Amino acid sequence: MSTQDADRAALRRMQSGDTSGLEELYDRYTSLMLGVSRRILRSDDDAEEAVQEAWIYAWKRSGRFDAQRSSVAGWLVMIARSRALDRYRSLTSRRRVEDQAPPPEPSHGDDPAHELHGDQLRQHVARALDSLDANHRRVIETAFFDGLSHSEIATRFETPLGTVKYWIRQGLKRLGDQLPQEEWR
Amino acid sequence: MNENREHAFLDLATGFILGNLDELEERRFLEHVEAGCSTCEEMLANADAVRLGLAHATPPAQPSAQLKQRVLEAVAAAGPPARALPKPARTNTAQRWAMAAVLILAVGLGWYGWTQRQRGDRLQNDLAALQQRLEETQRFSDAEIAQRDLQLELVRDPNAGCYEFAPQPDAPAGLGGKVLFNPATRRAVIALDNATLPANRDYELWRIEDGVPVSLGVLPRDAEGAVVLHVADAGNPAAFAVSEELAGGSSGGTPRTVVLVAAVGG
Repeated sequence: MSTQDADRAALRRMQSGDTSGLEELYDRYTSLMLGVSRRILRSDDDAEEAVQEAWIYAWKRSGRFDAQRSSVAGWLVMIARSRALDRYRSLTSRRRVEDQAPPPEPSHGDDPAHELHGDQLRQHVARALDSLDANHRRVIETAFFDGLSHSEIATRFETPLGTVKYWIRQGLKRLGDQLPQEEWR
Repeated sequence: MNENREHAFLDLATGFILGNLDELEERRFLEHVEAGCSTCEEMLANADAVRLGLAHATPPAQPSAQLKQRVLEAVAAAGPPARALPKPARTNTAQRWAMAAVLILAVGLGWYGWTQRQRGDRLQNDLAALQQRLEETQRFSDAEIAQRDLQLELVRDPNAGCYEFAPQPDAPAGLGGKVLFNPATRRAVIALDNATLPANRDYELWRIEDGVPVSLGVLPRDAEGAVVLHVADAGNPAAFAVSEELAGGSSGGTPRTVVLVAAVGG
């Protein structure tokens, strides 16, 4: 059974109220969800709170999962991202977040930690991101991890809105072409 | 699909992939994709890979030993998951009018309290968006300026309510909009997006009073499918509706194909 098949089977158990399905997915994806949440919130405590909220949301809304639109892993990552962004926005100010731990370093294909980790997929992703034009990568990461709209990104980077849209579109196309479509875990 | 409309949806497509659409935008976009846009469908084919790729680009983090237990306890307290909602089935015109009537009644009775609470924030946002749109127009004739003044006056009127048009099953993907209406003055402003049609078709505005549709005229639209119409006397309707008609509007006094409905008070 592939990981995606196992994910869907676990999700079906969640949908029927069986917490063993949640536990299986928790063990498989919490570190990934927590990594995204930590990147957004820059705080281990806040990131864990957001991930806890994400799992509760996923449990309650498991019936709304649409297998035609997303993998289970992608669905969970987007829930964690959304809860982290909500939490970030609810903090009283950006300063409060920035005073805490520095953001994790972005991954790179030649990062020794990743070599040690032996994660070929992560290296593949890093190479795909590294292949992007610097502006394309910057606006895509800002949109995803900061949750900013096109116009907000244009304001932040003092760049025309049309240029931002073009960069995002081109960057996503290139990224989509380079990333593997098969098994993710 | 014309080029402008396609571009508008490509912005929604990138917003969808990066998770930055609100619920309404996401619904509109997915309806558009389900209507058969191969360009957007192609972009969506990579959405999962892009999202997971960005997630995998961050170093994974080890959760504390207590987190799993906290999650399981919270889930136990939350009770069983909500059941999945079935997708709505397509209905015929008579059923849609009946459904619209039921919707209006439900909105008027059951949701009144809730809408009052939500209305403040939503109205403020909608008014700001409408005001921005009205003010973006650059050149007007004297008559147009007078019209705009009336519209802005209504936008700023605290007694006016802003109601969203709900797309009906026959609505083209992307068609949507809002109506701003003051029941005291009976004035209304209608704003639609993506109201594109072939040359031999028009959209027509209706008010629904006592369950009876009354035409308020054909909606003028520009080349990009944008509609902004000021109605000096919209009556006292329970709802507004937009129908697709042959060019010139309905000849029989009844709507041909209803594509949008906005319940007043909803």
